[in-house]
Amino acid sequence: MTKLARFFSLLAGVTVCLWGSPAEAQTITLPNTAFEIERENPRSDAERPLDLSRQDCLDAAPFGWDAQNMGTDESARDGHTWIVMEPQVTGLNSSAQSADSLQVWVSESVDCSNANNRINTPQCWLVYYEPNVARNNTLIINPRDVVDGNRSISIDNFRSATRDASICSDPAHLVQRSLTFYVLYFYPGDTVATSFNWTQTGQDLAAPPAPDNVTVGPGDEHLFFEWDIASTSEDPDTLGFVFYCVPEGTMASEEPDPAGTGGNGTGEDGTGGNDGSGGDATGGDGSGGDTATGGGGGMGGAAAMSCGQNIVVDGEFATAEAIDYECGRVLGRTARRGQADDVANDVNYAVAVAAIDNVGNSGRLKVFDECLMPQEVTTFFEGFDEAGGKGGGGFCGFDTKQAGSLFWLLLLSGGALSLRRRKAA
Amino acid sequence: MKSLLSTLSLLLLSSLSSPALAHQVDAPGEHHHGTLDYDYTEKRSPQNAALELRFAPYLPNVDRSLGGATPYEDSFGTKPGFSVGFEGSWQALRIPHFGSLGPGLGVHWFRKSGIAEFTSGDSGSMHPNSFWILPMYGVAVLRVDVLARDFHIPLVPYLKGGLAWALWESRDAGKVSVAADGRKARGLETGLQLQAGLMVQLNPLQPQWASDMDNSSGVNSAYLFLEWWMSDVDSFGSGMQVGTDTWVAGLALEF
Repeated sequence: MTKLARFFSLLAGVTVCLWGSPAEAQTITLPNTAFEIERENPRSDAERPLDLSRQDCLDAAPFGWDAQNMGTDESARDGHTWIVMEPQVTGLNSSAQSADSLQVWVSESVDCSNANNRINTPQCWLVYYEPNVARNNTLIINPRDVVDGNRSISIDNFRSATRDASICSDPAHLVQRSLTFYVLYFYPGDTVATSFNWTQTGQDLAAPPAPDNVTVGPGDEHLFFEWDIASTSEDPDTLGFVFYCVPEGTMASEEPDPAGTGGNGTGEDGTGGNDGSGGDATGGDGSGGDTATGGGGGMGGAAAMSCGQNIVVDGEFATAEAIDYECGRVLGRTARRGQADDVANDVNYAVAVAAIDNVGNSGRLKVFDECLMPQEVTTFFEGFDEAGGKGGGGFCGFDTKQAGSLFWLLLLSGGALSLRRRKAA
Repeated sequence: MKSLLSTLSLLLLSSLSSPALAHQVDAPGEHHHGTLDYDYTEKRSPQNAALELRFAPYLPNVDRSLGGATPYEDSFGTKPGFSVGFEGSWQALRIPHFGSLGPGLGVHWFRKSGIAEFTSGDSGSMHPNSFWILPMYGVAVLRVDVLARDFHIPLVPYLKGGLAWALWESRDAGKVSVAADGRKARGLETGLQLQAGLMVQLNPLQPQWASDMDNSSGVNSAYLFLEWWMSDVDSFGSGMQVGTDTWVAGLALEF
């Protein structure tokens, strides 16, 4: 009986040991996860580099990292903005857990390690799925997945989904919100083993509104802007204002705008037409193209054209092409005037101004309704010089006569002092 | 110093000998009746210097010697700009029954903005153009305060004369303007200046306040003044004429 009992005890012990999965037999932890947003043009600390801006969204790739089998080649990330998380996993066996996965979920306010918040009443959305877990992992997240916030996409569809640039112009996404990234380690069966939370990143795609009452005047190789702060918003995020100067008649290239900034279109890809392709003043909303005709499509009707150009369009965001025509900027939330320095005389310009915020979002354009031509001026000093006036050249032009007058002043002061002392004595 | 004190004592005594102007001091518990006339020599603290806060319309005489050309007027108009300044003077020498003489240093600030017009004659330029001058001077100051001190007439005429300097700069579109030869529109000019004015003593208006002010801060007298200011500041013909002929009004304190 005793032997039989010992045998069954041993059998039970072996059974218990073999029953559970290897992974469950140890403690999996995510002790540390590095977080970085990789940009072509890094932002300074003052520009909140951990926050996603609209430009980050525009600069993101139209595909998921894994969908293109990009592997671990860091140079392959060049040219686009990516969010890079590097979770370390402890407690793994020597070999990776073939049935386990790492997933990154994002939410505004709820705990994504709770299955209910991911599945039943989804308030979290998936932004990365890594089926090959290692001790050191590099998760390359597309910012557009974060911005899009698609709560219904399945893991199967996630990897192959397209990440359209129009996401970055969808009014629903042009908001400011705090985000929490949940790095979740999953056992088979959608069971969360452990998680790591990252709370220091937000999304700010909300651009400050265009200024009101913009007036612009020409000068000598300059244009001078004045405006009022938009009355529609007291956006505390406004950093300053940026100016665009487009030579008369400059037309957008026919190529689709990869930045995809058109506002009203509904195209599948590209950016959608801004104001349709109609040639008359009432050109309607464009419908965009199926794949890539939207962005370039918003050529605008005649009413949208200012100074015979279509690079800057009133009420629209500055396109990547328009950004090439930036001619000046001024910092300061309460700034009311500024000047464009990078313009040539005797050229007609269409001009626009837009507000920018702390993360670099540029608001919708306010286009001035006149063509402006800088011209040569005669300044006061030029007029003085032409009239034969002498002087100038610097504060240090201290000639002999000036030295002499200083001498006389010192002599006068010294004389008064000595007289005073003599009287006192 | 002894002679200065002697003079002050004499003035004090002579003031006290004038019953109409003597400072009546109430005895403890005694209510004061009648007029409290101010005698600024009574119990006054030593007086060594004066400070002035000065305000003036300023129209520099830039166009005066340009053969009819008027670049200043063309850019900034004919309306004077506003100037504010300070002056400090040391009453180093007290001349009994006459006044004081001593050196003074002053500085003013003037700035004018305008529009640089298109060379073509077209209208619509918004090219900003500005011009500032920092006039400074070192002068001998003669204040004739015998009227106030000896005769209780609160008027102090004065004369100032000496050397003047002025830093100046002209900018357009936010940068220092340059001439065709690349010369920068900034300079330092020297010259001469003369000021003549009249100060009106305020002490008699509020004798008790004046006395309290002297006791608490050492300020002997306060004045309003009006002055004619003439300056010729063009580095003796080798620079821009940034002097002016103008009125100055202000407030002066002696202490």
